[in-house]
Amino acid sequence: MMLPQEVIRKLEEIVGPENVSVEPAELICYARDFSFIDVKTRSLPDAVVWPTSTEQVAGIVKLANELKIPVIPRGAGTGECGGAMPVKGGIVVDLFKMSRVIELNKVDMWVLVEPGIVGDELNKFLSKHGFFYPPVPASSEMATIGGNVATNAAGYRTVKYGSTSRWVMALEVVLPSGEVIWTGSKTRKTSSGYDLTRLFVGSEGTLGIFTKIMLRIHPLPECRTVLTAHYDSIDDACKTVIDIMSGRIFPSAVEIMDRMSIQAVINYGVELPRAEAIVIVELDGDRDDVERRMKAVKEVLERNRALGVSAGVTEEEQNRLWRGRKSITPALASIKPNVIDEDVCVPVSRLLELFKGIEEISRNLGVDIATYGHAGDGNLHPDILFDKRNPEEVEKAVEAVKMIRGLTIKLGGTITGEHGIGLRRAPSLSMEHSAEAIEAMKALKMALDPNNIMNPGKIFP
Amino acid sequence: MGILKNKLIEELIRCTHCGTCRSYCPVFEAVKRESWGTRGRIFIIEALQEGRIDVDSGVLERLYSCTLCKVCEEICESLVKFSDIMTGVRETLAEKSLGPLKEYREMAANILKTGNVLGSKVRLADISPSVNRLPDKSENLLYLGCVVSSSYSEKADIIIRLLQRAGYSFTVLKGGENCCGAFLELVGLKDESREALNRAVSGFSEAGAENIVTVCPFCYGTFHDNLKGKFTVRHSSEIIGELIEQEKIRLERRLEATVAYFDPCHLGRWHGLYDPPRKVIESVPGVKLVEMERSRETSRCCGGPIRAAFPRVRAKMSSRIVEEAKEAGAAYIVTACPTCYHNLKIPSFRHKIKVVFIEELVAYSAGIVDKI
Repeated sequence: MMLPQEVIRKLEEIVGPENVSVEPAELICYARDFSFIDVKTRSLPDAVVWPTSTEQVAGIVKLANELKIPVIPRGAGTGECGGAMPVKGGIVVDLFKMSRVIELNKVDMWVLVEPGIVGDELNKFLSKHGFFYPPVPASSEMATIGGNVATNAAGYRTVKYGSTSRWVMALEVVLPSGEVIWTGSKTRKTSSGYDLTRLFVGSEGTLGIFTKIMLRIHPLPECRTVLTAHYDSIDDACKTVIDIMSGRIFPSAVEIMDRMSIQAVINYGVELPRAEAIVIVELDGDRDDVERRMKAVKEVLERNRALGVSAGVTEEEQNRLWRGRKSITPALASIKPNVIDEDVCVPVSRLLELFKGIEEISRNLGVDIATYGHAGDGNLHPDILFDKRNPEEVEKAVEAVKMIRGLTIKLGGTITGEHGIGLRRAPSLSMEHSAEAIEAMKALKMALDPNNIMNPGKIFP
Repeated sequence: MGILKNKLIEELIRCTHCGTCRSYCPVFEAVKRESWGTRGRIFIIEALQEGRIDVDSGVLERLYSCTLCKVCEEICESLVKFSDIMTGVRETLAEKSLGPLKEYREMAANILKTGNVLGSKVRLADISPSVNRLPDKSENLLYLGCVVSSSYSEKADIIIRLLQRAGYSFTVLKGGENCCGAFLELVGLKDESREALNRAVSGFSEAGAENIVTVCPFCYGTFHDNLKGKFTVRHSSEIIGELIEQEKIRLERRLEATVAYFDPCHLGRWHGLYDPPRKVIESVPGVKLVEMERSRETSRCCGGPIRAAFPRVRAKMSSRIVEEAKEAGAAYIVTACPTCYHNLKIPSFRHKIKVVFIEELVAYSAGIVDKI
């Protein structure tokens, strides 16, 4: 579908001609994001727009709603489930030009930002004032806060601080009708009306577009310490995770890497011990408190037969200890050209069963799967490795994904802990939610977006 | 189809599209559109490779607006050598007569016609009175490059006087230099770049040269990479650093100022020369050298190579660097590249910050010039 000239002219009136593009070179780029989605599923958008104000976003959405044209909001396009990809044309609304910090309130401890600000940029700004915004994902170097809110993103420190949803106090939202509302409150708590903020967080662009985001902030801890250990058995590593989580330790990160991930990182050139598993624990807080808890962690490690325990106190040492974990994604790309990144999450008590089950799936299908992730949250990323040029490998990878999701549900888990449903997981939504629950979700969607213009094709199959 | 050759297809496949390069590509920072950053260019090249898009003017714009600054390669965890992909694509486009852009073709014609990328034929004997005092032959040849010889003769004079004062024996190509052809290589004109290089080198032996000292980082790179074993090639900041160390250049006048050094892409990322210029700056008494937020491996790019075709993008890129220096508290930006100097000069007025050649800073401290 090509947009009529008249519509393009109207878009240009709203955002200025320099902020509208229908060039093929642009559309090709905005048909993609970080996700691996088969070329046949992709669709070119009809136009890309770069608004710079709430009024402009409202104008675009209102126009699209009148004409029933799909609207696809976009942050940095770093999601892995295709949430920012058009599926049947439409207007991509790139919010990257709306990236200001509008206001910082150090007394009430919040910051008001526009959605296009990148996580690390926000934290750079906050650190100058002695604060930080904890739940940024591993992609915080490039991912935007708007995208984080849309997917209810989480990261290393979620184990202590919670996911994005816990940090969003209020939102300015352009509804699918083009009307602008505020949700939430500037107060630390509220019991007033439906909690629309929590409804919009994680709505993946299907209910509206955030134009202003009010986030809770946290004072920077006095210090951080990182401990790593490796294990001869995944059982001991999982037991360690459970003991740390249920002890009086309150870690700010508990990460795990399995044998395949370790192997990949070693191949990639980062020094790591050859082991069945590696566990990384981070503590933050006041110095004396961190020291007390560090002793407790060391006891847990010893009790669970941990080998080669290293601690990093300085920033440089900590970066060195984190390096292996942070190199996994590119390291996997050096084994096979393509990776499907899964994002399953189970109760921590079922972590070991998830690991064992994934191992069995990998063995039975003959597919390489590297598993790592935020163990303290029970959130693992089994990465399925394949070469898209080999149809048999593609078929097996797809089968592995299905089986891993099935296993997760059996263990009482969720198919996505922090990435979202998007396009890639939509077919599996019914594995996790009953038909009635999905109908309830759809009823909410229909009430707010009767013309189904907001990011169609996402979440619901 | 077939915009890339086999080896480069493997390079392209390694990209996971994670988008980290979005946060570093200085062109993307200026334009803020996906297609103007590294990942966007990769999406476009993949589409060209698979025949999903035609080579139209918009595609060409994206493919020739990359400055090949290589910052994306420094931060790419999948180790994609994007500059190889980009150059490969440009070579194919040139072979098929689809590229380069008109503005670049004009510059290429300038080079082949006048020997200077800016299109002005320059006799070095005419630009500085100091040139006539140089011997006709010397084992050391100072190579000024297109930008200095055609636009900044006063700087050429300062550099020559600085080296003379140090008792460094050298000469220049008095009859005139020929452009090294670096620019032609960047825009994919392989044969033309080779021809330009041959012409540039043709006068070296006649001048008795064994060691080439370049002022321009582009010349440095071209000669350094192509003349291995035939000539030694050094950048002027390296030679000046050695002369300071040997106390042949005496830095006695103080400059009480905070100074930021801006890394030229072709010295830093392209050839790893980060420290010699910094050492020179630090040896000037009174100077406090500060690092900009993005320096060394991740420093921004002034936009020099895309200046002719994308002046507005280049203006934003160079302004950003001047702002960055200002944020670092600098009163001076010192650069070791005439092209960077040229690009940073205009925005520097607005921000009330001074941009100087590294040689100028040294000449000031050595008492050769009284004002910078």
